Amino acid sequence: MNITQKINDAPQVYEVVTKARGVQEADFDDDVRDLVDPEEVYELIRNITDPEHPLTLEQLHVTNKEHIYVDDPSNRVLVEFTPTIPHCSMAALIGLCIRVRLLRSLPERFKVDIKVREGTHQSETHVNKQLNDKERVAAALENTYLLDVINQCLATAV
Amino acid sequence: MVVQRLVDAYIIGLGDNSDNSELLEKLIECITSGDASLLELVQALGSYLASEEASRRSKGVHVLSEVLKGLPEAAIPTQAISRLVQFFCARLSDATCVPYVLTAINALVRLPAFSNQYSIDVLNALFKEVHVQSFQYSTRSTAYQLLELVMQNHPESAKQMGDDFVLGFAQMLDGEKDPRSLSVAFQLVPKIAALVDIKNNAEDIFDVIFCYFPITFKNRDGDPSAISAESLKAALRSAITCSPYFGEMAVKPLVSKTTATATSAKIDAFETLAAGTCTFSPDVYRKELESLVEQIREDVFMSSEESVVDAALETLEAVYSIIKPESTSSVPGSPMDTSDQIAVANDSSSPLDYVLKEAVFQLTADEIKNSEQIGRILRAAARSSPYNCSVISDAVIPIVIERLDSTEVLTVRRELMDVLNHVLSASCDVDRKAECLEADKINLLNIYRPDSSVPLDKEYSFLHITRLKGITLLVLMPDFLSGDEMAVALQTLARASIERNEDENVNKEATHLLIQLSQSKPEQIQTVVLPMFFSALREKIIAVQRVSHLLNALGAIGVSASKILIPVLNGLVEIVTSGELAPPHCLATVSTIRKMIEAIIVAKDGASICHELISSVVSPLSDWVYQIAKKSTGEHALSLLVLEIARTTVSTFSSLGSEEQQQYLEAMFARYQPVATAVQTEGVESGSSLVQLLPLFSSAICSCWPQTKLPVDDLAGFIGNLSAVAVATSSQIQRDVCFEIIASVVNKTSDSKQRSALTQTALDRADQAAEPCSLAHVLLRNWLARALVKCSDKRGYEMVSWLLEQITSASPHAAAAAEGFSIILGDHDWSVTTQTHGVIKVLSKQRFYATVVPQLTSQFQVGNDAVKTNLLVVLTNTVRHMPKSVLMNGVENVVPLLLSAIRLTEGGLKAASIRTIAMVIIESPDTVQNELVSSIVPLLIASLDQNGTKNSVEVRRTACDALALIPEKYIYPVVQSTRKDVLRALTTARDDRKRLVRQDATKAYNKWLSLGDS
Repeated sequence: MNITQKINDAPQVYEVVTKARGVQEADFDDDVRDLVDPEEVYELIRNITDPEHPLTLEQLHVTNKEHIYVDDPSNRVLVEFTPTIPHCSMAALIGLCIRVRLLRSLPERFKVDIKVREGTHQSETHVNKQLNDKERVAAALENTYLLDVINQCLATAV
Repeated sequence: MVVQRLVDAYIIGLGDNSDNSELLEKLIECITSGDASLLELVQALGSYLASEEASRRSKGVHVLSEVLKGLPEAAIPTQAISRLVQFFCARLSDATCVPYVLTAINALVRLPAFSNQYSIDVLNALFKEVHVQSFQYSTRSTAYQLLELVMQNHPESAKQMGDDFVLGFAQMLDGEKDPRSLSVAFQLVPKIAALVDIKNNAEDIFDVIFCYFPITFKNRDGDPSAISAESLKAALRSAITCSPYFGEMAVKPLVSKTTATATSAKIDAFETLAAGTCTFSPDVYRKELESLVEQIREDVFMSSEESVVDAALETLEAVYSIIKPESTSSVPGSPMDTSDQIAVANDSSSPLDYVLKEAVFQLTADEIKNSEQIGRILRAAARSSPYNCSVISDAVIPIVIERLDSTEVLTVRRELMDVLNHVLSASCDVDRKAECLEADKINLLNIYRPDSSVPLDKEYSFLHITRLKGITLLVLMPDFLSGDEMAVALQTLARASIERNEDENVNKEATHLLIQLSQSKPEQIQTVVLPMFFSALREKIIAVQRVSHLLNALGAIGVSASKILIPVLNGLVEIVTSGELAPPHCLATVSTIRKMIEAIIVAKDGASICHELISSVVSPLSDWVYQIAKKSTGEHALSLLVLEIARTTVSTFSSLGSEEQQQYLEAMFARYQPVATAVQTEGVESGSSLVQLLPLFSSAICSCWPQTKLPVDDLAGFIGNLSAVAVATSSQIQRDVCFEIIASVVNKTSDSKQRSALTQTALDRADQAAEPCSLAHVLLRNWLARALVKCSDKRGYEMVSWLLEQITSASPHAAAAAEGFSIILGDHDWSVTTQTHGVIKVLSKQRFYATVVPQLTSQFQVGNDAVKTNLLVVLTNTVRHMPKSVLMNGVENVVPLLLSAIRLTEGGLKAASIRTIAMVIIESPDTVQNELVSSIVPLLIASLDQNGTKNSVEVRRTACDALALIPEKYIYPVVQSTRKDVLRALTTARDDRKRLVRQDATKAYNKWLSLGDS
């Protein structure tokens, strides 16, 4: 495949309506424990840049707050993402970016599952398998070229 | 002989490149004083001037030109000018002499005796003999200067030369490359065009200047004499557009340049075309109109840069503003009203067709694409003139109305309304209602009438917003809506702003539109909109969020138009004082009143309405709170209300003159007699409601000018009483109020002896009233130190020394004394501040820092742990209020203390110390590089620990922020040894119990992780 040719030339861009969570008085009360919630996880991944376009996953509606499930006491996080088109070959890369971002940001106690949202990609099972296989993820991250691409995508997600 | 000697010496000096200014001065002095004549100088130069050797000749001319330049007018005899002009004209053919000859001629042109004929001779010789472009920049610059001087001093000669002058200038400029010369030359072109008829040579001169378009130029950084790219561009633009003769040649190439790919060139071409409309004939634009409109449409539709779109639309407006329909322009001078023009224009093709055809095509298509862009183009074309506005409105509005009637698809309706809004806004811009609007009035009102079938949810909010914009335009349209219709329209807007919508953008937009309308229709807003807001506020059950929304909207409307401000404030005050507002909302309302007043006072003529504000806002609110305090029902958060009203008092009162302040103070003391007495009376119960009103007095007294006389018979006695009451009272409010007043009065006493006496009185009375060294004594000295240090009184430092002594001697109030340093330097709402006319000397903070910090450093070495902790508290309180510039001077001495402060203190003080260290890392990373790995990073890591009480949320967050700075400021080898530890600590911090800390830790972690990658 020609690397300069884009899979999806003209993706639908959505207006960003996410409002930053305001700072409450309780945020400074050390006696109150703030549980990790979907909004916090979404905040971590929404600004990841799409590998193809200079747009964030939030602008492309690839990630969505409603598609993140967090169970803090059981240390589980599930992130479902929606590729822009069903044959998107970047789906695995986007998933990998989300995984790396959460690996570097969430507390280590969490077990994170990344999945393509059901019915939104033609090779859904294949991509899901790839993203949740520890060894394959580790192997992918040893590829310096791939790591560079991921780091570029994550550069905006600070 | 003397002259000869000087000339010889001068010329030898020229050969050696030595400084000849002294010799030149002597020569000038010699001729000015009459010791020698100009003739003698020429004779002395004879051998040089007539020499066959070029370098000798040029030296001769050099001397002569320098002397002529330096000589006063009277020293050059009139009869000599003729000879000199002849001589210099002849010398212009001598290339080596030209630079000096031009300097000399420039000196002569300034003389009153220099006639027009001489100018003509000189210019003829210049144009004929000198190929200007073969000379250096300085000579070329002198040549342009000569032309400018001639045009300025002898315009007649330029006129007389006519074509020769124009042609000569064109030849002179041809091939110029230096941007500095170009800038001067471009500025000459409009002057020449104004002075001389350039008709015959317009093409020559145009070719010479237009070849530079579009001009780009990058100036060197740090060159103060450099010209800017913008000024060069503007000079070229004014040159190209200075004469109608250029129109024929300019418009076509400019239109083709609008297709340039470079944004700056494109914008430049558009702007030049727009500028040309002032001088060029409309006909030249008419010929290119089709392609120009086509290009503008393409740019508006396709360009991603707003600046290009704006330039394109402005050009469209400018061009249409000069182009009239052919049928009307063919009968110049015949008066025709707009309707006649339209009738005539309808029969033939109109220039607006280029815009209209495409727009009509799009508007009638099944799917409307680019409605926003179509609307913008129509608006730009329509606002060019009332006539064009009528034509466009007539063509577009019926189509849109018909289409809106027939379609129910909400997205299409919204797009159509968008276009309609743009066309209507053009009518508002040209301030003239289009003819067709009257006929379609009912239809228009129906279109914008709120449609109950459209749900008020987020999905349709754009439709609602578009409708609201349309209603605003109808209100703004001149002579369109009747009084009742306007009231209904405003009610619709007000309802949209007041009522809760699914999407708060609708509320925001409605409020924004009301703010816009309040500037042009203040009376209607006052009579229709404000009562609706006030009654919404009076509702019995009303949520906090809604109150805050209503108050914000009212505040913004009030501040935007001066005519509405007082009605809004009066309405709010009435609601608060009437008791109709629920007590929890009173505070929010009073707070809004304060913010509005603060915003209006900083505006330039805000001070003029202070009188009115005091009588209509401050006094009623004070009366109201006084009555509440007397009743002491406990419903209201009295102390917070008083604080807000006191702040409002400060804003208004400090803007009054001293006499007015005095009158107001007297009235205040009389009106609130019990409170005035309570200020100075011991034994007032600390829980008494009257005590809570005391800040009102304190704020008024502290806001006075130094020259305002307080309504007390004996100032020293008053201060003494306050001091005695302060140390004896059990009420914290009363104590603080007394200290605030004492500090303010002492600070504003200009006479140092009197100031010292007042200080002493305060101290003595305090000592008499209670046993020395109570907590109040310590606080009194803190406040006195604030008053005195700010006006750089040396007694202030006596107070500081006393306080430090308390700390080092481990007195029971050492901790309070240390904490009190925040009083000395910190902010306060009204006591000793710039706003309340406190005397604050410029370098007072610097002096404090230079005096106190060395004492702290030395005492830190010898003190025990408790003393050290308190000294660190003092240090942190000092450092956190210091400007960065003061702090960075000698910061290396403070860093070890700050590190100890991080180690020993906790909470806010620890966070402040970490922030200071972070500031040092940002501003001067080298200063702390040695301590970084060994001390700073371990301390920051320790500050991330969430167990125990030492590290509050604030501490942990500042530690994360400080850690995040390190990878940005230091190179990898400096910090690599500690990287692992930091990452480990931040990994733990990523699982902090507080979300804010987790977020900051994640940021820092990712920065450290990528350290060394690049």
